[in-house]
Amino acid sequence: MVVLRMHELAEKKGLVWTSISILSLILVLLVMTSVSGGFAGLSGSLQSLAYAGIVMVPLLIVVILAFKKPIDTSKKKQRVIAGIAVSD
Amino acid sequence: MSLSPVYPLIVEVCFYGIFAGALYATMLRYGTRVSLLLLTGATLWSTSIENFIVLNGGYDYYGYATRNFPGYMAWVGVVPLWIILGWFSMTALSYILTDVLLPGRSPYLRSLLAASISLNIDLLLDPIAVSTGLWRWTHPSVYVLGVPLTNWVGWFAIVYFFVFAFDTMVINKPLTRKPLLEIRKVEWQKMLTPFLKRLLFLAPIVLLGTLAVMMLLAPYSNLPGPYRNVFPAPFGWWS
Repeated sequence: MVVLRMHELAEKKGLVWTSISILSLILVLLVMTSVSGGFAGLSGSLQSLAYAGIVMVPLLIVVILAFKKPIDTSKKKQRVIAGIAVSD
Repeated sequence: MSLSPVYPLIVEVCFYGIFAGALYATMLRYGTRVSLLLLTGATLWSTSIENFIVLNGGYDYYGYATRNFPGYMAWVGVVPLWIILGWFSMTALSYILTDVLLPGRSPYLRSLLAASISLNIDLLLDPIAVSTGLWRWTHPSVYVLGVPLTNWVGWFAIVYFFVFAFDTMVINKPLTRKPLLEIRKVEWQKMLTPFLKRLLFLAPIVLLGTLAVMMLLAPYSNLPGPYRNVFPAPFGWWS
């Protein structure tokens, strides 16, 4: 019997909530950066905010890439079939 | 720099909110049972490792402690609860993104990406925490932005090995070839034991590896002591 490992809708909703949580985290971190008064080794809040902005870019790229990636159920089916064949 | 005593409480509440979002996202994607497996494993994993390092004088969370109040509302041993739940949040969110981007790929590769995403978040979280006194590093090491390099290595290893255990023992086990959202209680119990066993096997590797890096970096420390550990290091070599 071929079964999908995840329901498509659950997969999409899960990703949306993942993104909401990550964006909330980024927002909290940026606010924390602005009230920190500057990191050790960096002069002032402005440099710290610039550092924060640069560091968060890869994370945002990953989130965008995750959204752009289509849900390919045929691959999942193949993977599950292959898995069952191997285990048999 | 220490801010108002309200600041750590606001941070604590914010992280509880982020935890709620991360748990909900995990439940939507993998179902309640698998999410509880992840939460149980992550809680045991981070609680034991964090408490171990704090009790060994690596760092502490008492920057805002007063005679009457320890600085945060809820604790698990000598570690604030929001740290434990925050660790779960970052690991779970990183894992979901990895699962979307690298479906069906090798667990080594998936663990690598998840650990890199978590490390990316920590590259900002740790300098903030140090500069605002949410936690204090108290061991000799090479410090960058107030954070020891030991932390970056340890953080990466802790997430990498945890995700590896979760990916190999829960997500890609034959039992879960049925839809993850339909895992029943009896299957949950069957999955929990091997998952926890693998974590128990991997924990010493993480701790010994991090300790080795700590010892390698200690002679090159750019932060002179005394380190004023709340819990003096039992081995006494840096206290």
